Amino acid sequence: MRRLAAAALVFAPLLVFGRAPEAAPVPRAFSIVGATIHTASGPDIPNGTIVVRDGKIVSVAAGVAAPADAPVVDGRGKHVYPSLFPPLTALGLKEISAVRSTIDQSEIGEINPDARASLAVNFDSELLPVARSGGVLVAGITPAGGIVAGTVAAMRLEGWTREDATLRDPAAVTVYWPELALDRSPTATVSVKAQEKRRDAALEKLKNAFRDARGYAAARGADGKAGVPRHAVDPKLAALVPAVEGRVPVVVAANELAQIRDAVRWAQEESLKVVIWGGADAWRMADELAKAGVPVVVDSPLDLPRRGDEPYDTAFANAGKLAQAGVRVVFNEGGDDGSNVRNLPHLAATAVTFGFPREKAVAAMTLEPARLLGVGDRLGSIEPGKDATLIVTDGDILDLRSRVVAAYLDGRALDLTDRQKRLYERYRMRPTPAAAPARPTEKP
Amino acid sequence: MGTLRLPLLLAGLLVLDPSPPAAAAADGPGGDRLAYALTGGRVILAPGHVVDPGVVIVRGGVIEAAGPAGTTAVPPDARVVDAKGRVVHAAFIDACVSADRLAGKPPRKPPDDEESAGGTRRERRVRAAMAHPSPANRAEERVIDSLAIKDDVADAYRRLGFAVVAAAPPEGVLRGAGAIVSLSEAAGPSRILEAQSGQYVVLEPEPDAADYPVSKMGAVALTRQAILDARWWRAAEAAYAAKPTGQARPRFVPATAALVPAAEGRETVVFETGDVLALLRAARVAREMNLKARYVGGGDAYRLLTEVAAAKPDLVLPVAFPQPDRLDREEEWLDVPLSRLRAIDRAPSNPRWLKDAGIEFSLTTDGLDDPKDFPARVREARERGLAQDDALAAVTTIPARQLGLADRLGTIAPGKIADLVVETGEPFDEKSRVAEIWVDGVRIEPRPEMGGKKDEAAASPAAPRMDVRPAPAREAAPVAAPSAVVVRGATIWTQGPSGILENADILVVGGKVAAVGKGLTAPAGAVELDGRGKHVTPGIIDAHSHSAVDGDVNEGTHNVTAEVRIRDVIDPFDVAIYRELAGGTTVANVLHGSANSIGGQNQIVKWRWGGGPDEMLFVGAPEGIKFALGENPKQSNWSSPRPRYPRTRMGVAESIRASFQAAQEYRQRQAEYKKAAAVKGAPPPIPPAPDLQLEAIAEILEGKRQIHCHSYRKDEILQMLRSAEEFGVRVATLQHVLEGYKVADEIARHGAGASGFSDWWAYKYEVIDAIPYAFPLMRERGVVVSYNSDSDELARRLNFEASKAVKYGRLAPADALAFVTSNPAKQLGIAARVGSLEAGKDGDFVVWSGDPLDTSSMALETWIEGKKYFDRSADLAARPALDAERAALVERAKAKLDKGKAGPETKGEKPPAPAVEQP
Repeated sequence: MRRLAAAALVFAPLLVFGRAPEAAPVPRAFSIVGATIHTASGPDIPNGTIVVRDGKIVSVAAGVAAPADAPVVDGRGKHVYPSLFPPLTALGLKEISAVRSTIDQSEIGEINPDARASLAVNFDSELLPVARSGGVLVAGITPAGGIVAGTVAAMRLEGWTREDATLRDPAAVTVYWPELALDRSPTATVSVKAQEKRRDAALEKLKNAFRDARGYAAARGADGKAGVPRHAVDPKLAALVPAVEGRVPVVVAANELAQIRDAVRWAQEESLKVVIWGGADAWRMADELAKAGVPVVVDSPLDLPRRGDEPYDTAFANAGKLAQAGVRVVFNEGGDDGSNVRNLPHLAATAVTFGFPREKAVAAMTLEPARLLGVGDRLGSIEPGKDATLIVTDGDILDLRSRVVAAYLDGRALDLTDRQKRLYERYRMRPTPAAAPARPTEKP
Repeated sequence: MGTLRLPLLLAGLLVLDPSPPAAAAADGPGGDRLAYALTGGRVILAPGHVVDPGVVIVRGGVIEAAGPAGTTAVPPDARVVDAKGRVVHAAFIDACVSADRLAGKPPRKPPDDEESAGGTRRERRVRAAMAHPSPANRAEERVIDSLAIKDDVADAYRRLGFAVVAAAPPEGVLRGAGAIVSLSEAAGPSRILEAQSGQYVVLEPEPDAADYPVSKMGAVALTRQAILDARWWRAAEAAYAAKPTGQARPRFVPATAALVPAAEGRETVVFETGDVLALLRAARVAREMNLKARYVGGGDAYRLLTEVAAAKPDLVLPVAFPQPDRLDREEEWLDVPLSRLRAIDRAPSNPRWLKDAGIEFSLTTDGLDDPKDFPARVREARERGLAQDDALAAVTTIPARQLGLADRLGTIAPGKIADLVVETGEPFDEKSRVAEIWVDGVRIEPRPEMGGKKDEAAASPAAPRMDVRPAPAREAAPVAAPSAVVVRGATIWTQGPSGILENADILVVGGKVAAVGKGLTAPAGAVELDGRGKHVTPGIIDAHSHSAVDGDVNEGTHNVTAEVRIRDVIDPFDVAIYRELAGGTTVANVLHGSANSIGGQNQIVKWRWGGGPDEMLFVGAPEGIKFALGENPKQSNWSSPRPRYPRTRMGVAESIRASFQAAQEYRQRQAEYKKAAAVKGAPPPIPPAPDLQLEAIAEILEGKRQIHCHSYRKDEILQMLRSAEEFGVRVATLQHVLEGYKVADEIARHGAGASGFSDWWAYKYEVIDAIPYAFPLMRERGVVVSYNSDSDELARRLNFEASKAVKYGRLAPADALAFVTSNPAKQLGIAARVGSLEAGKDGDFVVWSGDPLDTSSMALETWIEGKKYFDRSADLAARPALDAERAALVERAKAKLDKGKAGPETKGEKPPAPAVEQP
């Protein structure tokens, strides 16, 4: 009995909100009434009403009556947020970290802007329903590795095909800034000289790629003009053009101070829209970053300090120090492995405990990433006119005891079952075996 | 091997001394009776005993007389050597010079060629080891059999004033016998003072080892076993000799036989140790195995001076003080750890601090990139307060005593070998040069230096500035250690029968919880803490940790390594300890890795930050051992050039059963022997060979050693339980056990605890079915469950893992916190001491800013046994000082680099003119 009661508790909220089968038609309109609405773009609205029509948010306000034609969802005691939006994840590209055949994350070679994440997202990945259950309905998906890792896409985490799931592609280009730190110990794998050579060659490759892309864009732009020969297509350079033209940001994965500093300087020289990703040392140059208007995607609040003698809370406090200096902070989880993107709020909560402004925490998981990937006009906040891509929780999202009890993608209620819940259900129902189990096998 | 040795000996020695020694030839017939009188010089007969002017009479390679000029007669046949204006002292002795250095082998450096390094590091190691097998136990080897001393090396050492060195074998763990040789120019064999001197041991794997051992704990285990083997072999040989009939002859193993004198305490074991942890480790092994030991190392002994002094090591101390690297850009200094900056600054004071702590040491060139830096380093030590006489003793009388040659070397006294140095000034003085050195009574002038190399000594400033510093305080220590402490008005999560108490007090006296309740009376002098608005919980217990392990956490070579012990490699300097305290973690179960079916022995610790390695131990906690199932022991997720059994879960299970059976038989053999040996009148039979691996496994079967079994899939979990049951054993904890929820009833019935991650999954195939409901579900079915970290990072926030038991399992708060307090205590068999706050238990507690399950809370104070090891406000307050210290040390390091660069470049400076010989 106890067991059954517990199960009922776990899934009780689902019953309240009902399970819409994925194939069910999207109700033309509905309202969520009585919930605390965390808009992300403005102040929270206690006892608010959200009206959704045709997949879009129509109105958001306190104490407004639901329209007569729209079914009402009782939101009392609940919280509504925009979907969490980790901007740089491996979701759909990596299933099982240790099984190579399930990974499509890093293309061979070092300059791969034409590796486009959207092409390879496995929408039947077991990781996606788990992410959705955790309140992550949309995400940026990025290739990894090399120097120019590839092109990021902003995606819905549910879809029949990539075409109906894609929100924006390309949404960014991801660059891994070459390692600058040198191992000067006698146990280094190769000598300092060899390390310097490797580093310099990598930097050269990176800078050349962007310079070449700029030249390529100019050349292709001139095609057809008098006296201009036709220029051959170069898929790699072509894939970098949106970045060199500033239409999409260049996300630079960099943690060391020297890397961040060099990346920002380079981006300024090249007039690129740069975003620092990782940024473990970013707090050491927070003012410089604020002045340069460079946002930082922080996925390290739960990392160890980079150096043995840094304060124990260095990584916890990084985001707070950046925010204090006026740097735009975006929280991210799942860059290398998307299996636990559901813990994104844990990262934000830790940052809040160690100084990140609480009132900015939700936006840093929703609206800021949406803006970063160029979909801030339709996602990331609860405002009229935006996609009704929402999650409903039974408590403050920053309290990691809270659960996601319902989710809506473009106004459609999602089925929040996943592999983990199915396994739980199955084994929860396993009958207790007889007291003395038969030993069918003999002792060898 | 034996047949190879002689040619090697001849080749090595002959090849290296191609030219006839000039001085010896000059002696001609009757040279052995020739007498010399060094007169007019200032003679240091022994450290602190100077005669000026003094006379030294040398005849036939031996000192005939020495004393003040007035009272020491010069024999009429003596050739007089005028040493006026010179200082004469006993030549130096270096008690440890690697045979590689003597042979002129350049030190190992990272290669410039990146392409040569194909494959992973591990693969390269394995390939190299397959091509050139290099046994770790080479105790039967003698360095003298392959020793080659390159002329220019000998010359360089003589130029520094050294006449005798102990040559150390360069390879392996048990490296074989050292030798003591003079640096005379005579033909090879005549250099030998002792052909065999000391068994050299390094309790570390070779840098590129691919075979057992690859970990420091493995090297310790190998050494322990080798010594037991030697003792056993001796006993077995005796038993066989007494009654050969009907007994199998004990197999002769050269390495084992060679270790007998050392194992019986008749021969010195020379432990070469890298750092102070290695030094203390070696000292513990020596004490445990009852060995006569000497130690090379201790250059950073000041870090744990109390512990080192307590071990009373006979030290051969390096002066290889760490030097700063020249860095290209300012940001790079960030990556130089404070510990290294401090070492650069403090290490030159180490000799003085050791002296003050009552530790006797000789000084060695060992560890220096270039032995030529030796005098400059000794000068640095002198500037830091090492007395001149102590420095001199450390290269004369003390190494002579250490090498057992005090009757022959180390002072200028009648009867001793005539190893003398004639210097232009006091030894180690910057301007002083060795004008001539007498080795075995033969005078040798240093050769003019070739190549115009920079002379380090001349680059230093002229006037030594004394900078004597008091020994530094411990790098870390408890923030407070009151006799009693009381927290008042807090929400106290007792995790015991009293549940959560609101507005309550907790009193800890003498390290133990005295009471928990309301309005407690505290003894006088108790520290009072205002707990209003705060929460107090027991210290968090991490049932799966790899923090604070020195070296590799896996002895991942053999499939069974039950003999290795985490206890041997606890690293109290690991900053993870402090970080975990800052997250409220006080106790950890430090486990061997999961690379083998039966891994090493674990160690339960308390994070007493600032203590030495022994202080970390949770004394009285049950002994245990790591087992591992599935993908790791069967090596599924990486390629190896040399596959190992087992490759399947079938093999893993069978290898465990086979080990249990072997241990049973081991105990049977011991019992049979005991019975046979008890028979009066009959000579005892050959005793069974001791085997520390089987010993540990037998302890499992006897219920004296807990199994902590890394496991994932339900099939392997079930089989582990059944294998254990077959042998009457209960598995203490299943670790990870992410599919344990599928066999929860079986686990409950067996009585194993389950300890794992809250929500990790999908990182490998065997965790595809991991679910965050697993541990609440197992709990519901009657299993004692805990959440653990397996990570230095996660270990800092296990309270929030407990929060996930609320999220996914809807547990009551105290039941959730039990996942990281009382439950792991029960699993590890330490619940009588820790895991709950009840009168009589250890005073291990955490003060939180709020509800420990709420992410907006943080640990404010962490106490272990009534001592405060973490305090957030103290931590914040200390930061400016640490920043300032770092900045100052960086400046000092930079200054040191600039000084080195700006110093006068002395090219090809000629050695000072030798003393004029008078007929």
